[in-house]
Amino acid sequence: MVQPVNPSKSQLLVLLCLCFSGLPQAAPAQEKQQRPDAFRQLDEIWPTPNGERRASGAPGAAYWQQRVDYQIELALQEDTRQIVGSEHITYHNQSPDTLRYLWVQLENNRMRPGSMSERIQGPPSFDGGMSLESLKRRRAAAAFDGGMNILDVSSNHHPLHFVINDTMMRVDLPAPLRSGEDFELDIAWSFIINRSDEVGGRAAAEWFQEDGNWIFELAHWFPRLAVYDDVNGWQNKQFLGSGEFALEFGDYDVRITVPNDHIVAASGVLQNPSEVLSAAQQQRLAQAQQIGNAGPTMIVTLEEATANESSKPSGTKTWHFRADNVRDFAWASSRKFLWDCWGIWSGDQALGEGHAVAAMSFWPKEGEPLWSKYSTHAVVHTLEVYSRYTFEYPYPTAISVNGPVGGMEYPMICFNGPRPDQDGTYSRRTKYGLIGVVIHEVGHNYFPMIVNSDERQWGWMDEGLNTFVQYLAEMEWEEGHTGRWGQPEGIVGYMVSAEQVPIMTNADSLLSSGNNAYGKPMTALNILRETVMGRELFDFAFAEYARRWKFKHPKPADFFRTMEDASAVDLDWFWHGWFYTTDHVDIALTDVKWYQPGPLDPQVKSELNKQARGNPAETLQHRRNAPLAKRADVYPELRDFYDSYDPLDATIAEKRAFERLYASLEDWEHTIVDNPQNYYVLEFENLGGLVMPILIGVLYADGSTGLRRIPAEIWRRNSETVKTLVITEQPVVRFTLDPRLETADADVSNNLWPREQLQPSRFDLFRAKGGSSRGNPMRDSLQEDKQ
Amino acid sequence: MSFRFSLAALALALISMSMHHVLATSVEIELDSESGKLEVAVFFTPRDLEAALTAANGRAIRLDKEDKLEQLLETYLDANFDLLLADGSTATFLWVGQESELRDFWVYFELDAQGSLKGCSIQNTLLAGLGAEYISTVTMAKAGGGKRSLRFDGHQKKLQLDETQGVGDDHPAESSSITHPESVGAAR
Repeated sequence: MVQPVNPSKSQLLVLLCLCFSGLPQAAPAQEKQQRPDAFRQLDEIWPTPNGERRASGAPGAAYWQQRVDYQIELALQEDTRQIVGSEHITYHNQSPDTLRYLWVQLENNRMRPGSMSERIQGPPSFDGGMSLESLKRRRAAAAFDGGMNILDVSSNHHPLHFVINDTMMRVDLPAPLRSGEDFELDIAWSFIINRSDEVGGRAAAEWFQEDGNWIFELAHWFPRLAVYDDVNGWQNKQFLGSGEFALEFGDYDVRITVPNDHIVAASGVLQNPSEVLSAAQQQRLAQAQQIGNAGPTMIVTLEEATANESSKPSGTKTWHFRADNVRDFAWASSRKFLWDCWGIWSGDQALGEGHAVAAMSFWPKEGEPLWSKYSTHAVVHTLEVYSRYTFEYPYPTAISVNGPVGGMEYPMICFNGPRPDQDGTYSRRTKYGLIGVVIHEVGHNYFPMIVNSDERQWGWMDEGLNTFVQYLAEMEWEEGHTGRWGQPEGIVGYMVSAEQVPIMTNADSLLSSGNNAYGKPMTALNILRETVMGRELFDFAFAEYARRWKFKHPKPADFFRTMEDASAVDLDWFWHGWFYTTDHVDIALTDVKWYQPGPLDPQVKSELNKQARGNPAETLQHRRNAPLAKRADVYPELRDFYDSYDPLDATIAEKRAFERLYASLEDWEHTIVDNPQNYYVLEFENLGGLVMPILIGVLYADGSTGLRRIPAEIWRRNSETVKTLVITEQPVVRFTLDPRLETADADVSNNLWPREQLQPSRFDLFRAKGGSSRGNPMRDSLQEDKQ
Repeated sequence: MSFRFSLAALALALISMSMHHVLATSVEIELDSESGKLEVAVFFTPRDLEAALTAANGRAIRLDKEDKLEQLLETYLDANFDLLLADGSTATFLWVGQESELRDFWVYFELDAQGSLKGCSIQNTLLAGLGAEYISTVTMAKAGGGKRSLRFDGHQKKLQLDETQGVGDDHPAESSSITHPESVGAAR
C-alpha cells in the first residue's frame, strides 16, 4: 500500500532522485537493438531430455549401456617385440536395439603403413634444414610394419565374417542379437611393438643400450569393442591419434606370458603370486599391503633389479590378472623393474566401509632416487584428494610405471616418464614434473576410467576435469606449489590468441590441444569454483556429477546440466562463453562519476555555491581602475538593495521553508539528509566478449579497502556496456577492477581508476626479479659442496 | 624440390617427438617508450626448446644440464627472431635473461627499434626446421581489446607490424582522477 506524503516532502524526494540520476538520460534509440544475448538459454542446442538422459543432467530411468567381458591370453616375444594373443569376448547387448554387427577397435592399425592417420599428416617444414634425427624418425615411422594382424575371428569355432576399415573392424553376427542377449566370440591376433626411439605413441618398447634390456609398456594392444550408446549408436570414429578412447565396462581375466625374469605390472589384481614371485617377494608384498604402514615397502629392491639386468631368462612365466568393472586393460613388463607397494584404505575404515588398495610403482634404476621417493606417495595422495572431491576410489590397485611413455592413463595403471639425470640429481621441473604427471595420470582413474566420457569426441571432458582436480591435489602437496594453469592469468595468452577453436570442438580438430582440452577448461572450472559459484556450491555439484555418472557414459550436456541442477545457479552464460566461443575476458572500467546529494539547508547550499563560484580573476583593467574615485562612494544615497544582493544568498523564505521541511522529516529521512554519503557511478565496457562477474576493489581515503562482487547477471540486458552504483561513506581514491586476478582478464591496464598504474609486463616482472634462474640447482649445490 | 642441410642437420636429436606434436611458442612484445627498444618475452615448452637447441647445435641439449645455456639461447634467439626496421636494417639484439619454471621456459631480450615500430616487420623462425608443424604467436602487450596477435608458421615467417593494431603505440594511461564530486543537487 502506498503511503500518502505531504507535498513538500514529495518535492524533496523528487529533488533527491534527480540528484542521483546523474547525467541526462540518452535519447530513445532510433534503431532496434541487435545486441547478442549472452544469457540465452542453451536448451536450444543441448539434446532434448529423454528417458536415458534427464533435463537435470542425471541418467534417466531408461538409461542403458553395453557391457563386454574379456578372457585374454597373450605372449610377449622379447627378441622380436611381438605380441601374440587370443581373446574370448562376451558381449552383453543391454541396449533396447537389435544388432546385426559389432564394431571392434584396432587402434594399433594407426601404425600400419598407409593408415588414414599416416596419410592425413601434413608435411614438416624443411626450411632452415632438418635434423637427421627427425628424418630418421620420419622414415622409421613410414617404414614401420605396425598394425594388428587378425589371425582369427570366430564364434564357437565357426568363422565370422569381418571387414577391417582402418582402425575399425566390423564383425557380422551369424544372427541378429536381440536386446538382452549375449554373444560370445573369439579373436586371435599379433603385432609388433614400436620402438620408442623410432615411433612414438601411447605404448612402446624402450631399449636400454647400456645393459641390453627393454621396458615394454602396452596399451590398446588387443581388439576391443567400440561403444554403442543412446547418443551416437556405434562410436566408430577412426583413431587418428589425438582423439583418444571410448570403451565399455567389463570384467577382464588376462594371462600374460613373458620371459621368466620379467616383472609385470598390470590393471587389476595379480591372481598367482606364488607362481611368479619369489618367496621373499611374496612375503614383502603381503607385508606391504597391510593397512597402517607409514610408507611404501620395496618388493623388488634396487640391488635385485640391477642383478636382474644381467640375467638371462631360462623360460617363461605366465602372470594372471583379474580386473573387474573396468573399461580397458594395460600392462608393462621388464626385468629392469624395481617395485614398491603401500597398502592404504579407501573409505571410512572406522565405520567398516570401503576396502584396501595397493598403491604401487614400478621403475628402472634410471628412475632413482626420484621414483622411490615420490611416485607411490603421489599415487596415494591422488587417491586421498580425488576421492574427497568425487567418490571413494573403487578399485583394489593403483599403479604408476616408468618407461618410454611420457604420461598415459589406464584403469588402475598409468605410465609416467620423468627421470633424474644420470648422476642422480634432478631439477625442480623434473621433480614436480614427476609428481604432477603421476597425480594427473592416476587421477584419470576418476575421469574418464570411471566417469566414462567419450574421449574420441570430447577431450576436455576427461582432460579438463582431471587437470582441474589435479590442481586441487597439487595445492595440497606442499605450501607454495604452483601449477601452470592453476591461476586464471595463466590462460590469458592462449585466450587472446587467434590460434584457437572453442572447447566444444571434436578432439581430433583441436588447435593447441594442451591449452584447449586441459588448460582452458581447467581454468574455467577454477574460476567457476572460486569466483562464480563459490566452493560450497561448486564442490557439491561437481561431486554430484561424478556420483551420477560413475561407471556410466556422460555427455557434455549431462555435465553442464548437473552443475546447474545441483547448485541453483544459471550457468548457461558461462558454458556458452567459455566452452562454445573463443571470446576472452577483457572488461574495462571506462568511466567513474562521483555524486553527492546537494545539501537541503539553503544556508549550507549558499556557502557551497559561493565556494564553487570562487573569486573572479583580477584583470589588468580591474587593477588599473581600482584607484579611481567612485561616485557611489561620494554619494552613498545612491546605494540600494542591489549593492549588497548576492543571488547565491539564501533567502529568508528559503530558510523558513527548510526549517518547516526538516521538522516534518522522520528519523530515517534525517539519516539520509544529515549523512549525504558518496555515490559513484562506474561504467564498464566488455571488450573481450566474455561476460563475467564484476569485481571492484575499493581504496578509501583513509587507506582502508573493500571489495564489491557483482554477479555476471549485471550484463543480462546489455553484454557490451553496463553501469553500477557504489555508495560509500568515505570518498574513494581508487577503484580496481578484478584486484585479485580472478577472472583471466586479458588487459588489466584498463582495470584501474584513476589510471595511474599500468600492470607490469612479463618482461618488466622478470627484470624486477633481477636475473635468470638456474636449471638444476641440486647439481650446482653438490658441486659447490665438493669444491 | 630441394632443401638444404644446415649445421643443425647434423644433430643427433635425443629428444623424442610425437609425430603429431605441433611445436608452439608464444611471444609477448612491447615497445618501451623511454628506451626505444622492443622488449620481447618468448615462451617455450621445455621439450620444444630442447629439440630446437639440439638441432641447432648438433648435440643433445638438456635445459637442466647445459653449462652454456644462456650463450646457446642468445645465439638461437638472435638467429631466429628479428625486427626489421623501416630502412631494411636489422635491429640490434640485446640479451636480457632466461627463466625456467615447472612447465614453462621464458627467454627475454630486447631489439633496438630506435623508438618507433612504424614500417617495421618481424621475422620469426622459432622452432622451424624441426621436422614438425610449428606455430609461433606474437602478442602485443597492452594492446587493449580484441585479438592482437600475429601468427607465424611454416608458411608465414615475416609479417609487417600494423600500427593500427596498436603495435608499438605507447598507449599512455588515460589521465583521470577522482578529485571533485559532481554535486548535482547544488545546482538550482
